Amino acid sequence: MSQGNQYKGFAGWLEKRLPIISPADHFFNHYPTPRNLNYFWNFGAIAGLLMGLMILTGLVLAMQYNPSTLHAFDSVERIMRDVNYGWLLRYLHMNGASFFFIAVYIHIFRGIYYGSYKGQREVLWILGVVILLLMMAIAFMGYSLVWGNMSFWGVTVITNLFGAIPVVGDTLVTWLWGGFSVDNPTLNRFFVLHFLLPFVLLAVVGLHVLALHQVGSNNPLGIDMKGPQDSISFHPYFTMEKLFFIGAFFTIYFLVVFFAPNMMGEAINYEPANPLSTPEHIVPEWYFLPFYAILRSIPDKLGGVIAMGGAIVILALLPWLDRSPIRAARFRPIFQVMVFIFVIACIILGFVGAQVPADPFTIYGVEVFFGWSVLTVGQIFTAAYFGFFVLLPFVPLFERPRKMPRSIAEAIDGHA
Amino acid sequence: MRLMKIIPAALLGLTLATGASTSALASGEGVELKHQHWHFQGFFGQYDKAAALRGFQIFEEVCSACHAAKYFRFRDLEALGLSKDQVKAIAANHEVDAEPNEEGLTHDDNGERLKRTALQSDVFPAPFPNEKAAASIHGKAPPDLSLLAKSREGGADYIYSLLTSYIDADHLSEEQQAKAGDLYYNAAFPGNVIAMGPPLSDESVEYVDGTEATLDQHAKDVAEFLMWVAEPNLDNRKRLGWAVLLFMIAFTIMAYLAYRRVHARVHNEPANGPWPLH
Amino acid sequence: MAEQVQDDSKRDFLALSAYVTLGVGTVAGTLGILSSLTPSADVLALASIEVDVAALEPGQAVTVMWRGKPVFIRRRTAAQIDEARGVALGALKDPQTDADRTIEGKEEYLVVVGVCTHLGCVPKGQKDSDVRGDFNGWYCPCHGSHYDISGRIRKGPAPKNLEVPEYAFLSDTNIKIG
Repeated sequence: MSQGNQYKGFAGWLEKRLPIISPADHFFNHYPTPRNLNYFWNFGAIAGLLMGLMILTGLVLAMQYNPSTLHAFDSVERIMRDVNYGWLLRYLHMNGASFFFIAVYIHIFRGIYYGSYKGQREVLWILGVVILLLMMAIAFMGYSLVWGNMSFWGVTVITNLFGAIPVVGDTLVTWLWGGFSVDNPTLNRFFVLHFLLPFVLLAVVGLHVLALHQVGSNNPLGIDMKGPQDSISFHPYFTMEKLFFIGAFFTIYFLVVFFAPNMMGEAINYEPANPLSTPEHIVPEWYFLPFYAILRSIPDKLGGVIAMGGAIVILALLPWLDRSPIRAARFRPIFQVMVFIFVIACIILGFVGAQVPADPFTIYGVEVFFGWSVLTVGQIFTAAYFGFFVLLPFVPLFERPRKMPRSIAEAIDGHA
Repeated sequence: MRLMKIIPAALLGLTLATGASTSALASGEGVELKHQHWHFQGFFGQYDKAAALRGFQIFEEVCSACHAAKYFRFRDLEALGLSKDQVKAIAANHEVDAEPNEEGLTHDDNGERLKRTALQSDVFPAPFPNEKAAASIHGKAPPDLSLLAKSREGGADYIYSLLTSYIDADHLSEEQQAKAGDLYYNAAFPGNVIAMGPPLSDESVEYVDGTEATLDQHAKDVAEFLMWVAEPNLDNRKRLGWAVLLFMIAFTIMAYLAYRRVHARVHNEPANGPWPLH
Repeated sequence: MAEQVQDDSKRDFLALSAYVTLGVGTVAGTLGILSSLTPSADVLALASIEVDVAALEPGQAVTVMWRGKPVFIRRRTAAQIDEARGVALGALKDPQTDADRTIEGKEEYLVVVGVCTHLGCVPKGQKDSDVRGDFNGWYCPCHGSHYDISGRIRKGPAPKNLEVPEYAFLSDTNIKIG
């Protein structure tokens, strides 16, 4: 109770009545942060900021948007043409989703590479997977709101996946649609959920940060801090670094927003939804491509859906699949190679997801992998994706870890 | 440590590349695009307003006979440098559906739609009352042109190529002739068989500004106009973009310097956090 | 020691300028976002309308919609104009001469926004069958405000005369409002 006394003036007055000063003070000033964090540790903050920007732009866009099949597309064009800075808000929101995923994917790969799911961080990690799932749901429904032709057929194809579930599949799909096809009821509920879920996401992100501050940040060595000599204060050291990184990241983001806003979008989505004409080539947004590739790699409908869902859910099992006590990949030669293969598999699956299954696989028009079909390449790298998780429990049996420093301070001061 | 700096950049690049690759993909089969240099390309590119106005003249005199552009309003022309009065005069040449009259009627005794003179705030009138009416005359409804430059792969290049890539029957192989049937053969159209006959030729339109009226010029101008109709805020976007970009670069440099300065004292200032942590 | 101090102030200056720049950017962005809520171009495009009053006979009135509100246009008879001009300013709650409320040479036409200045209801009096109130102009049924034939408040809770919008005659019978 005497805690309030350490703050002077208004802060002290408020703290006595509402304990919000001390947690904020703790978060920024007394959160011991490992001295050795590298640049990879900035993407969480960037993702958080982007989430804020998405909610903000989304809020004002929602004030101009009209969730009805008759007016949705028109209202988006009205935003683009007539609303003051509407084009900017829309392009910020549309590309913000992409950059949110870029930040989060890098954040996830960083977590895997440095074993950030270990050392009482299971809940922190699972909350992260929940965040990813929520983001995917939100992004998917947001894309549908444009009510362009790719929106419409994207929703049709993805919701039809639920039809693969035995017995209840068809009923479930009809329930999701609120009708016998994707139509006005579908658009309306997607709008409501696209508006609501970001606030759920915000709450889960809050828990994610809470869990982080309970356990503390992991670091590139994967060795816990043993005392003050291993740490520095979050503020000003990491606030400053994050500020710089946020500046750099947002510069790239704005570069795309202002000079190539439609680069990551599909041209066909500038055509209004047309239930009579399916686009020749249905492609989801780029951030879904690896999962879409996994879906198509399995020749069975139900199997594909299970594989796609499993590809995300299996991430949540990582803390239990990885049985090595060592966190950082730099001390684990086999794991290190596996992570690199895993990352490459994800990127190649991204290319696979964008191409027609029967065509030969290409990267920017260049045939790689000896002219194998997109389907074959997809299956190989789907195997690689799941192989990572399947082999993980057995790695410690073969792996001889590299020599580790005893503490963070020793690693830094020893070289300094 | 250097590796640590390169990897994020590389990852970012790759993720962006994956994104870009999806959009680079869908251009259909058998399509030959003729890439042109456009005024609005690149970081500094802005619309060539004179060309867009010539394009509007073509749209008004030729395209709009069959195609609608439902997001294009007369008042938008002010952005191309026309005065309010000029826009008003242009609008006055067109008629739009009248609002229900005193008796609540929208059609006269002969069943004709009641019309009124268009105002600046009106959408450029569509040639057909609805898609079915358009389809009944042309076999297939002519697409709305207001977003065509954004909804077709290749954008302005595609529109230019489409208008200049008709091959007349004499120059077609028998196989191509069979493929085209009663329709037209176009090297830039996905699938090559198009229902629209060649809409433009040399001297289709006599330009108000005296520019030489060649098919090539017509096609370029109309593509410039349609790009502008599809993305009217491009000029503003790039102008604001430069201001934002310079601001962000300045901020990033400042934050970088501050960050370097702050990190110079990392070694002599351990955290005053509670120990042990848990 | 002196070097240390200099170092610190330099650091603080750098950090401060970064924070200030961040603040400026945030404020500019917020203003941009908020400005999206101001009337959009399609709304502004309808901010002025043209009305043809050629068909209007003396004694008749017409109601047109302007910026989402009704505008009363009344072509007044000579007797009505005399009535409006004959009122002493002292008898008015919101003193204004009829000449101030009409365009010289076009006194026949009265153009007012048909929204009661009390709480925004639409007064009666446009149709021949309507109640016109005690002063033969308009009568607001919500709280009983009486307006005269110049649209001036004469009785009731409304504080001001009916608003005269900005308007001009483009030709003899073509009025541009707004």
